[in-house]
Parts: sequence; C-alpha cells; structure tokens
Amino acid sequence: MNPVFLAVDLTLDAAPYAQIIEQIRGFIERGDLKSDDTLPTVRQLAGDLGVAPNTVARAYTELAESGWITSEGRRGTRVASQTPATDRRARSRALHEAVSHFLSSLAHRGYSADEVVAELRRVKGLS
Amino acid sequence: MSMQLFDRDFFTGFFVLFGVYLAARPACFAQVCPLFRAVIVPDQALAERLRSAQMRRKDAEGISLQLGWAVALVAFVCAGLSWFSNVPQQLWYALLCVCMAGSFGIAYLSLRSATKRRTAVLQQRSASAPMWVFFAGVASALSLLVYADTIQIAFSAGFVALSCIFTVFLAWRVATMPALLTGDDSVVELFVDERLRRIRTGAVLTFTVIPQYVYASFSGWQTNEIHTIAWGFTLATWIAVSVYIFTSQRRSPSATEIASWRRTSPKRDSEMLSVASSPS
Repeated sequence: MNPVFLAVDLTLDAAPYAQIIEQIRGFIERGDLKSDDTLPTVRQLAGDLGVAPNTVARAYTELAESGWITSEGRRGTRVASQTPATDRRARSRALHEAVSHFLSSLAHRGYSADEVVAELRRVKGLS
Repeated sequence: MSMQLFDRDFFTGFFVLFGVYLAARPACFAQVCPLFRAVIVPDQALAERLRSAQMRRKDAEGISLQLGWAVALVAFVCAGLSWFSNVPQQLWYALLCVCMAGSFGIAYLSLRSATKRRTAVLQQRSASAPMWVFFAGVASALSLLVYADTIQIAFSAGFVALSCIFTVFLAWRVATMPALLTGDDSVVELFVDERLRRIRTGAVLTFTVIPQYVYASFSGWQTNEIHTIAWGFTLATWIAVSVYIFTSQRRSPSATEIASWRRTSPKRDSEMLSVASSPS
C-alpha cells in the first residue's frame, strides 16, 4: 500500500475530528485507501497528529457508524469491505446533497445559480 | 601495577576520552544529517529532497547542543574525582551513567514537545525493535544487584542498574514515539522519520547493556560464582543486542520507496490546507 497522509490544521474552523473524517472518507472515495486496508490505532494517529485520543476515537466511531470503516478489536481498524463509496446510488445521492448544500449556501450570500456555474466553468478551464 | 591503580588509570582515561569526544561532538544527541551519509539515492533531485527533509527535521526537533557539553563536563569532573579521590571508581562511573540517562531523557522530552504542524501516515507503524531487546536490557541491569553484597560498591551498582532500567524505558519510548512529519514532503519525511527512529532506538539500546558489562568487569566478577555468572550474562546480553542493532539498520530507500518519491512532489502550504479543509 502506498503511504497515504492526513493532516489536521487546528487554526481552521472545522473541528479536528471533522477534518479527520472528511479526509479519510475522501481517501476511500478516491481509492487511495482500499477495502480492508489497515488504519493506524487511535493512539498512534492521535500521537502523530498531536491531538487528543478522544478526537481520533470520535472520528473513527462516526466513520464506523456510517459504514466507512470497521473496528475489529485485536484485528484493529480497517476500511470496510463495502463502503458507501462502492454504492453508486449512495454516491450520486451524496454528490447531489453536497452540490445542493453548496448552491444553497451561496444563494444565501446573493449569488445566482448562473453566476456559480459560470465561475465553476472558469475555474475548471484554468486548472 | 596493583588492580586499584589499574582501575584508577583505566577509568580516568575513559572519562577523559569520553569527555573529549562529547566536547568535540556535542550534537551527538541531536544528530540528523550525519545519520544519512550512508543513504544512497539514485539522482540529485531526490537527494536534494532528502537533504531538505533532514534539515526540516533538525529544525523541528530543536535538541540543544548544550546537552553534549553538559555530559562532557560531568565526564571531566568524574576524571578528576577518579584520579584524586580514594573512593571506588565505580561510584564515578555510576554518576556518569546517571548523567547519560538524564541527558537521554531531556533529549527525548525535546522531541516530544516539537510543535511543528503535524501530518500522520494512515498505516499501522510496526515496532522498530522487538520486545526481547528491552527485556534483555532490564534483565542485564538487574543482574548488577548481585554486587550489592559488597558494601563498598552496593550503592554504585544500584545507581548503574537504575540508570540502565530508565534508559531501557527511554529506548522503548523512542521506538514507539509518534512520527514527526511536517507535511512539506511527507513520503521523504516518512523515510527520514523511520530511519531516525531505528538508529536512535539502537543507539539508546546500546546504553542499556554496555554500562552493566563495564561495571561488572571492574567489580570483582571473578570473586565468586554468582558474580561470574552475572558478568557473563551482561556480556551475553551486550553481544546479543549489538548483533541485533548491527543487523537491523536499514541503509537506503527501497525501490518501492523511490518509486513513491518520484510519484509525489513537495507540497506547498496552500495544498496541505486545502486537503484539510475540503468541504462536505
């Protein structure tokens, strides 16, 4: 397994456990972490990131409850064999919810959908 | 020459040489770059990335050079006390052992309090040393307690044993310490971290088995059978741990690691923050 790295920035508004959840979910969705890949222990990850063990434990608990990882006691924590990323319908639903939330938050700030789409096209053209 | 004079000359010479070595190389507790001289990488660009990772690591650790000078000073003081006093040499040797153990502890605390931004690798880290080497150090230290039957050296035997047991604890802490990755070039920093972990664990482990052997060698190991067995045990553990250290040190990155380095590039700060703050 090629090493996958995770970082937490304590200066951001997002809580550290939320940053951990988002990044691990992203790695699984992109295929950087594959089914049954072993994750570090709570203690190891907390030590490496310089955060409290409870922070990592909470992230792992939420990821396990939503089906992304499994905690198997002595076998440790692993990426689940079947994750929400492998369910195409769930993946489409997740994309729809993310885009809806994104457009809604920008609409509250006065941006129209056309403005957002135009800006997305411009950014996509630049990258 | 009587044995007492020989012991005095030997220990005085040892303390002086040890002090000179530490005074000339005070960075021995904080070495990073010299530990990578034997590492071979296939091209200049990768070598430059490795060098940059070493410099960032050294900057992040912040271990003071004063530690080396402090221990050198203690060694010189021990040399003077050894030459001019009538106290058994073992006491000054025990003093130096306690000082070395304390210095390892201070260096370790500096490592633990490094405050640079941290990145973690999402894979389980394997132990950088098997448990038996730590048990060997403790057992070897405890074997010195047989010398407690000789009142003149009972205290010094106890101090050496305690300092070695404390050093075993530190070696274990170094072996299991969190990785120190800043995230600027994580794959290369991971190689630097793992190599430093192995080498430093080995270096500290060395000081968990040598002091007992030296102490036992100069404390009448031949006076009775128990002392001889204890001395033999300290020699055996020293040889066993030394063989393990010599055979377990990695030299250069593997082909898999080099391929991983080529696939990545040093990250800019903005890229790392965007990864951490990606919206849901």
